[in-house]
Amino acid sequence: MTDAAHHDTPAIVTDGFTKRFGSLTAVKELNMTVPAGSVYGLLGPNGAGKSTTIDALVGLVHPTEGAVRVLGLDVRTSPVEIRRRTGILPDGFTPYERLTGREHLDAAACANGVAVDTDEALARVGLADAADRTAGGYSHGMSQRLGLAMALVGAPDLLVLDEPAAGLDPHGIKLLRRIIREEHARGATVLLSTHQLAQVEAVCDTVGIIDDGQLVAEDSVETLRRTVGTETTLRIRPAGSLDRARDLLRDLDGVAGVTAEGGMLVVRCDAEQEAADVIAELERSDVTLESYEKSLPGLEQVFEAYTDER
Amino acid sequence: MPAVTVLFALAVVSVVRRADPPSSGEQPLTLLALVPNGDPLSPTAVVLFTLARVLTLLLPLVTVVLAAGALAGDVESGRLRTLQTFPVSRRAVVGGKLLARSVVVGSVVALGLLAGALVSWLRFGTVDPVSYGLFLLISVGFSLSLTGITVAVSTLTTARSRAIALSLGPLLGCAFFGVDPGVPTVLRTGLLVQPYQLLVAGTHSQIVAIPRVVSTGFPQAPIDGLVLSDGISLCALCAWPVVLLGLSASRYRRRDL
Repeated sequence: MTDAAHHDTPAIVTDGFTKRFGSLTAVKELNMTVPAGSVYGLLGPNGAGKSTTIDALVGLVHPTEGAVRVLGLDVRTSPVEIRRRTGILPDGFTPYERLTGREHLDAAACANGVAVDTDEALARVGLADAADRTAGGYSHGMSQRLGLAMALVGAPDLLVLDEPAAGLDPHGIKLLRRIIREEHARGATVLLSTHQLAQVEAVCDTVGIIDDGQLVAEDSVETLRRTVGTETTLRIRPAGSLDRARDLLRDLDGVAGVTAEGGMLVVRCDAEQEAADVIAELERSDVTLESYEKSLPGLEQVFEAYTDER
Repeated sequence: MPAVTVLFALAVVSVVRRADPPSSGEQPLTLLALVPNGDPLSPTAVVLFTLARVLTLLLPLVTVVLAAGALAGDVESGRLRTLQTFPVSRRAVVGGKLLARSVVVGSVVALGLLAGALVSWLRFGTVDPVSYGLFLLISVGFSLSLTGITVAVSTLTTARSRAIALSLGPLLGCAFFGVDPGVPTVLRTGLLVQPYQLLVAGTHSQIVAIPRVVSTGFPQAPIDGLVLSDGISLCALCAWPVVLLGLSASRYRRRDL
């Protein structure tokens, strides 16, 4: 598999995808492209339309308008083939309570027409000890791990994970990141929908922010940080007088505020470029810098900028 | 399933233990009659006659309990979304559910009726294997028809309780109105109980279908003969599940999960 990762066809393309439930428009004219071989993070507040979009990608809901293509296939005409090449962990994954973890994997392997080493697959998600226990006794986190193991069956070209970290403990989250990286390295495309921004920052190379059913931003995390115009923080340790440096900084354009913190100056700049200008200005002045460090806006700030403030 | 199997078997055994020829003029809720034809009544005929009357009520109950949750239960629990993430078509999911529930219902009915045959043999010392075997096949077929209807209803609904209500209500209505002499024969054919009992009447020479006797005694319009034939009875038992399953599968394909 993973052919899709090696050619130019995007893994996912939505063209004017609209989904209405009665009078409620969950997703409105969504145009989203997930490049093959990427790890794409889909962000958005509750009710933004993330899960509806993901459900439409795998044929769980039908588009009201627009087109959805996954791995070059139209979801209206080839939902089964799409699911054969896609590993899916749906939002609110519910296992069959009377089946064991091993039986779940056997069922997934049978449906996909592949053989699977259930011991190895369950060990990969940390469920080796629970392989022969019925899933009715699993905790929420264990169910999520089982769902992830099922999604990985058959080494799919595309991995669609909707809130995969829900219910996972810190070890589980670390494991999830490792698996995403491994799948990415294998050549699979990963689409990750999550509220955990740290998760997206850690593993995603492209981020789409969806709000009120519309894609409001789509780019790399780095580029999105630069475009939101949120503050950049400089932590400066001057070699000489703290007061002299503070006086100088206060007079510079683009500096929103300066505070002293334990022998350091914390400088809030309006934007990243202005932070660079501040450093350059300091280096040209009589203030000698012992050290400085720059803090870019976090994805959380980017998320807030694109959702709350719009 | 084991609990339902035991309960159904106990109900059948109880009916067989109490099976006696009806007293004169007693034919409630049935389209069947026993005819000695000059010979003593066969115990098998009495057992089949008694069971056929009771099963028209018992089989809808068993079927609905075992099949109403087919898809509706999975929708309610969220497992249907899990199932539909597999690379299988929605039509295949409905077909798979129908097949699985049919096997379960058919097995339960067959086991219960086999228990009835055993008790009948213990009580009367004899069972006509051909008649009883045919009766068992027809009863399993009737229960599969009801299973198809119930699975179709389950496919159209999103909660098991709703599926139970929407399938059990009409099926019990059929059980009562299907034997009501006030309902025209043609309509009764569509209510499934009459076709089942017409087919049961063919399993033993001492059981007759009352509508056929009446029809013979008082020649009606030609449609009566056709409507009361075994072929039309079989078609009626197949038509409802086939049509309803076709409609429900088509609707399920278009549904958002």
